Amino acid sequence: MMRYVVVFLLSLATYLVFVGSVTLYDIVTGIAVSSVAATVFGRILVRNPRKLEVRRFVELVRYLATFIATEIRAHLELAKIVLSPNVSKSIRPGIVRVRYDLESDYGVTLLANSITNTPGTLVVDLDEEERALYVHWINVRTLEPEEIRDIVSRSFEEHARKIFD
Amino acid sequence: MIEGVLMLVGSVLILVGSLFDLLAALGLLRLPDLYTRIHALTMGTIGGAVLPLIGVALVAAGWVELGSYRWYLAGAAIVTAILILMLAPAGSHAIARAAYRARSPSPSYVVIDELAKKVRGGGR
Repeated sequence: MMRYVVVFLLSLATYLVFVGSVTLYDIVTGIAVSSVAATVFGRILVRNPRKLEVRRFVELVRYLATFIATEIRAHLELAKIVLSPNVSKSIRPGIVRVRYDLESDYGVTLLANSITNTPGTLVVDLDEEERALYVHWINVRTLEPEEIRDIVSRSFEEHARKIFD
Repeated sequence: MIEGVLMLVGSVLILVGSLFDLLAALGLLRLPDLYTRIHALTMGTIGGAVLPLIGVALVAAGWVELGSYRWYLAGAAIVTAILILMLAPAGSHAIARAAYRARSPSPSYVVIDELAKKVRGGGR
C-alpha cells in the first residue's frame, strides 16, 4: 500500500509544481492523473516498500550538495582545458576501470548518471558481473585502481549506497 | 525586495549559463575526438542548460508583473531542469557506448584503455 501512496504523492507534487497553481481544477485533475500513474507504475517503481524511509530522502538532499560541489570543480577544470592554448597537450584521455559495490539497480543508475553528468568523466560501458564501470576520463592522473575510485566515484558511491541500498 | 534579489540571482545564473554554453561550443570545436567532445557537451547540458533553467525559474518567480503565470513558468523550468539532469547522461552514455562498440571513431590520444581487453578479448 505504502508504495502506491508514495508514488501518488511524488507524481502529484511533480504535477502541481509543473502546473504552478493550486486551484480546485488543478488539484482534481492532478489527483486523477496521479492515481492512475500510481496504480500502473507503483509496483514497478518501488520493489521493496520497506526501503521508503525518511532518512533516505534526507540523504538525497545531502547527495545534491556533494553533486553541486563536484560539478563546480569539474566545470572549472574543463573550462581551463578548453581555454588552454594547446588543447591536446593539456589532456590525458583514457578509459579506466572503476569498480563499484552497490546492490540495487537504482543505485548503479544514480552512480553512473552522476559520473556522466560530471564534465571530465563519462561512463562508456558497464559490466554487471564484474561490478565495474568503464569510465572515459579526460585527464588520467593516476593508474592506481583505488586512487581512481577515490577521485572519480567514491563520494557519489557512498551517497548512492545510503540512498538506495 | 525579495523579488529583486530573486531576479538578480536568476539573471546571474543565466549569464553564467550562457558563458558555459560558449565554452562548451569552443570545446566541441577544439577537443580532438568524439569522447573528449562529449565532455564538452556535458558542460553544455549541466552548466549551459540546467543552470540557466534554474535561473529562469528564479527570474520568473521574482517577476511580479507576470501575475499568477510566474508560478507556472517557474514550475515548468524547475521540472524541466530536473528531467534534463536525469535524462541527458543516458543519451551521452548511449552515444559513447555505441561509438566504442562500432569502433567507428576509435579514441585518439588514449593513455590507457582498459575496456579494449574486455571488448576484443570477449570476441564480441
